[in-house]
Amino acid sequence: MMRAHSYELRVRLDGEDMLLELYEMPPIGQQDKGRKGTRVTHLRESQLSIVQGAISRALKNNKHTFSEVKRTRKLPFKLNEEDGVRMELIFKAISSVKKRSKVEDIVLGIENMPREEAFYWHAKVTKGSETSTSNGLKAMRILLGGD
Amino acid sequence: METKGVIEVCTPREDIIEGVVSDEVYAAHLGQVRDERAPIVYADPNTFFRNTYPTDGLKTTIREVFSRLSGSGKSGSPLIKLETSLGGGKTHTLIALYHLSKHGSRCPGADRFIGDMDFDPVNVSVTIGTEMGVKQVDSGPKTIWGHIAKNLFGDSGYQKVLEEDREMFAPDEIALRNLFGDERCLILIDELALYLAKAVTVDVKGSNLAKQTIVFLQTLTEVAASCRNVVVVLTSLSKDSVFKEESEEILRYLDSDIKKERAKDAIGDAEKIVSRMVMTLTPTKGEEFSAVVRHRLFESVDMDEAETVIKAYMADLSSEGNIDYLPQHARGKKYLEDLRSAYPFHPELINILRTKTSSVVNFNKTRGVLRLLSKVVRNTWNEKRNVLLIHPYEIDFRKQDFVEEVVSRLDKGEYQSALAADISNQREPPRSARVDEQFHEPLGTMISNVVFLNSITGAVGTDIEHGVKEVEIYLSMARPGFDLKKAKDALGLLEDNCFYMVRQGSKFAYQTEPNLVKLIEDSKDTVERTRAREEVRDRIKNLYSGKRYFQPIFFPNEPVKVSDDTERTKLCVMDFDDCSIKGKSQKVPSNVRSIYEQAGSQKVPRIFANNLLFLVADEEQKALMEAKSIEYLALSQLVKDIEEGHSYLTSMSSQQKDRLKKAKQEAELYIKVAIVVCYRHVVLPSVQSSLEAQGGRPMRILSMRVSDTEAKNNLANNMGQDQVLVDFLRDNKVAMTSDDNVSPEYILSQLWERRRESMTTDDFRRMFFKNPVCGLILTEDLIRKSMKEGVKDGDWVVIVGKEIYDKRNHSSFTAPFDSTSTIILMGTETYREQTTEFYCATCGARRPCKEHEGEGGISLPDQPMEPKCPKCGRKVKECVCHSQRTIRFERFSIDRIWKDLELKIIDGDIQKFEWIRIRATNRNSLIKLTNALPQFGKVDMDFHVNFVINQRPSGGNLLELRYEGNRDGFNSLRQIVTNYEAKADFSAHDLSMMIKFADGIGSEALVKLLKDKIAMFTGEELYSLEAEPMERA
Repeated sequence: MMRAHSYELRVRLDGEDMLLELYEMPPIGQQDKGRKGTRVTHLRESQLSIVQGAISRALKNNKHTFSEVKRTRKLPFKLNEEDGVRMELIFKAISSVKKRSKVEDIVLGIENMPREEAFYWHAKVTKGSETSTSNGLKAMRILLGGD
Repeated sequence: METKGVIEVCTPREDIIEGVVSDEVYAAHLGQVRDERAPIVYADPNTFFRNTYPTDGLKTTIREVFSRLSGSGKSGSPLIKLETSLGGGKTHTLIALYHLSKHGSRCPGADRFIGDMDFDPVNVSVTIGTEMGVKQVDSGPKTIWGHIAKNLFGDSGYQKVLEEDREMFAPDEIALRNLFGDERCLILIDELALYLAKAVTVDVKGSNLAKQTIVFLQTLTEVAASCRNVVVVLTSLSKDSVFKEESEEILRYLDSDIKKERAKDAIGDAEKIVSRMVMTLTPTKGEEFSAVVRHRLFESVDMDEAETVIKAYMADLSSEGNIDYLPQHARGKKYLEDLRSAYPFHPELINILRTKTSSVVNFNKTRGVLRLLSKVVRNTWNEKRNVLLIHPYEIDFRKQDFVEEVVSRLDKGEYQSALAADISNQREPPRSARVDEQFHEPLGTMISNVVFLNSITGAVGTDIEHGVKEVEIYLSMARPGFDLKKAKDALGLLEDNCFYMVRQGSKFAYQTEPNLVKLIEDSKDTVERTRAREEVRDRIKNLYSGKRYFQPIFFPNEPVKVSDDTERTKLCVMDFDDCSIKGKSQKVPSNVRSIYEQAGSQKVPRIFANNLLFLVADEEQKALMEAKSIEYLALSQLVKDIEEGHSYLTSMSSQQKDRLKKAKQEAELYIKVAIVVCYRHVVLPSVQSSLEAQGGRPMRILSMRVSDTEAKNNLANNMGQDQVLVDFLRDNKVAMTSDDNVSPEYILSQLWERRRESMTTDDFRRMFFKNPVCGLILTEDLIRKSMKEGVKDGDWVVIVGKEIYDKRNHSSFTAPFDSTSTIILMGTETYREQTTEFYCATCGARRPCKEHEGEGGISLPDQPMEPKCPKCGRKVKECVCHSQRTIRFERFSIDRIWKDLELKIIDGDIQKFEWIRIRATNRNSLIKLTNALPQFGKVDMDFHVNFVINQRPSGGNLLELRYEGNRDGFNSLRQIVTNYEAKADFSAHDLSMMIKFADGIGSEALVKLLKDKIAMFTGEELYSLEAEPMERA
């Protein structure tokens, strides 16, 4: 049986700005074998307000609160696999989208996906060649946010 | 080095400390100074200059103006425009110029401003657009040139332009040169734009006064440029000052759009003309701002001590531990400068006031800041707060003074409820105060003050200026010896607790509307758990109260609560605290079991065990149910608070209120959904115990699979939960309603007590409620229907009073349930005994029989009764429990039986029989048969004896005897069976005797046995006999 992966949300400072970085951690039970997490994506502070609700819910699911997200936070926020997958999708999907309404649509769409669909898209945008993952990301953006 | 607090380092001006500075003091007014009506701070040149900080702009302006007018040879500008936004010190500059022109370079207190310049007083004209009308008053001047001439030279000057003034025609160059002559003149014009706006409404022969004024302005500038004795100082000519807020006065003049357009054009034209040769000066530059403020508020500041404090701050801001908290620029040289210039205020305080608060239109930059800061200073000194720097949080919104200054005066009343809820409240502790309790100092309130001050901006709605970044908060809080981690903790707590403080991305801000999510979360905290559970219980009672199918019994915890009767089926809704079922477990909770098995306070066995069912909560769903209840209660409380108009909610917009109300309605639905989803386990009486069930009477657990959506739809459609439950039970074939059918055959095989021949109709009904074999009977109609069915099919007849109902008159049968009506199986002894009076003994037709009227005696009905399998009770044709080859003889004498048997043997070519079973039909036949038993020889015999002699109704005895076993046992009972009260009749009897032949018995031998040995004993008595042929090898 495949073990569930877990995710971590970490706060990093980039000058005055705060970055939220998402790390994918090795499957539970294998972290003690010297395997470290890999940084999969990040979110800039300027984009924070628009996805605040989604992050706040994901943190809540994992027994954290959004008010703990402060620039000096050193401990990572642990996320379960599903929330981590959704966060990765959201961070990646909105990274180059400018229009606010579109970002909102995408975030809402990802949040409302059934679990299976979220994992499907996660596979589409993370696994495979660079072309296929970037096409996957485009496809999801169009699906959720319109052209 | 020791650092000293502001009280030790600075000496505020007396008027600031005493608070004698009246509000209008801050509103410098040139007209009042001219008319000598101004407060002393402006009217007295000495006081005025002492209180004024010599900014570069001010000094430059003075130099420009007076170097030209002093004739010292240095060339200054003839036309100066003072460019600042509101409150930038331009009126202040005009007053300074006015004083200097009146007193010359010997003006008291002006040394710092004029340097080494030396000049005499000059003629000065003050023209203020706001006070100048466009209509003639008395015989005074009508036009701006009339005013200027009169101001400069009195009536004699006015006479020189009298004609132009009357005709409202701009004077030409010659007229102006003539007017000024060699006299040195300073012409101050303030608020010209406003005047122009008014002037467009006055028509002057194909033109208007504004146009003429512009022509005059052009001429004036040309004249001023060409002769060295005239200087014109204008303030900015911007349309904004007129049109940004169209005051009532302006609207009185500009009552149409055309006029407004013309006014705009006029101002634009004037601007163009002026800008051709103007020198633009800014009286107060940004960086001088704090110096201006400090100068006005403090008599003296010991800058050496201040430097110590500043160094200490700088060291703290650059310390290793604070790097992550603070912005980079806080460690830079520039910030050191900021600290110096802002001292004794924190640079952030000055910064916020300058950039954010000043963007509020009626704050009026310099004046507003001065007003506010003078209050801060007074407060600091009065309370002897000897702090190192005056931080932004010193503007403490718990104090009414500051609230008035920042909130009321600036028309920011929409923030009042935010203040009341989160910062300052007389009646109950505000949210920030709750945070304060966690720390040694009121950090919550301090940070709230910072965020609040940062939220009051002119740019409401945009997030450009509104609010404050996390780093800026820390910067506002940072001071030597203070651990910023505490500030971080306090900020986190505030974020969680304050209703109106929100985080929008990187910024924190106070909003005018409360944050609903926080409100709800907070309200949830106040809901007591017990109250929430009570609510759930109330809701459960409400949901399952439907009495159409069930009699609901809520939360029974002992058997006595559930009566043991045949009334409506009892729906026992078990308390979720008492018991629950986990997942797919089949373990029946113990208190369900005890209620099911016992009844009454004495805990006797429950009789009508098929008349109740249990609804049990799901272990995992319980928490959700409670959570929903808490949410609902929290929302109800909020909605109630809104309706009662609680102060902390008054600012809520009607949309927010509607959203809350809607949320409450939804919560009400969701609590129901949660209950329905939670109460998914039905525990039922059963005939077959499931594998995992433990001992005791069999029960089974059925779990409903309810999805949220489904539950929601059902609830929304007002579908009663009893109906949902019934549908579920029927789908699972464990409950019957009047729509279902129980066939008489099924009743006879499964329910009817074997070998019982009759019962009262009431017993018939009760029978259904005792035995779960048919499933729950939700309506007695069903039993009635089955009873009729049996009559119709000829399975039984029913005697009601004097009437018998059988298949011939079933349609008029009403199937009453009582203890006098009897239901009798067809073809039984009882049937024969009981029905003689109803049927003709000869033909079996109903009496009165037309053919055999008058004949008496017992008779069987016409058709011979269909034989039934004694084992399964089915008609022999349908019997499945025996092989079809079994040969049966029903109610014949043995003599007759062996003859028939002989024929059957020949027909079936039967060699051997495995066993035979003989059944006696009445007492006599039984006795005779027992006498014949030895004749069978030594073979295995299996006896089933069941007889009852009941004479209780007639005052006699009751014997019930049941025996199953071998011949030896039976032998010892024989005496009783044959001799017990020999004359009494059997009320019910049954004796069957199975004789097994180990190697079978030959067909001929069997016939011989019956014919020669048994028949002798049994004589004419009737018996039933079955014989099982042996399979051939």
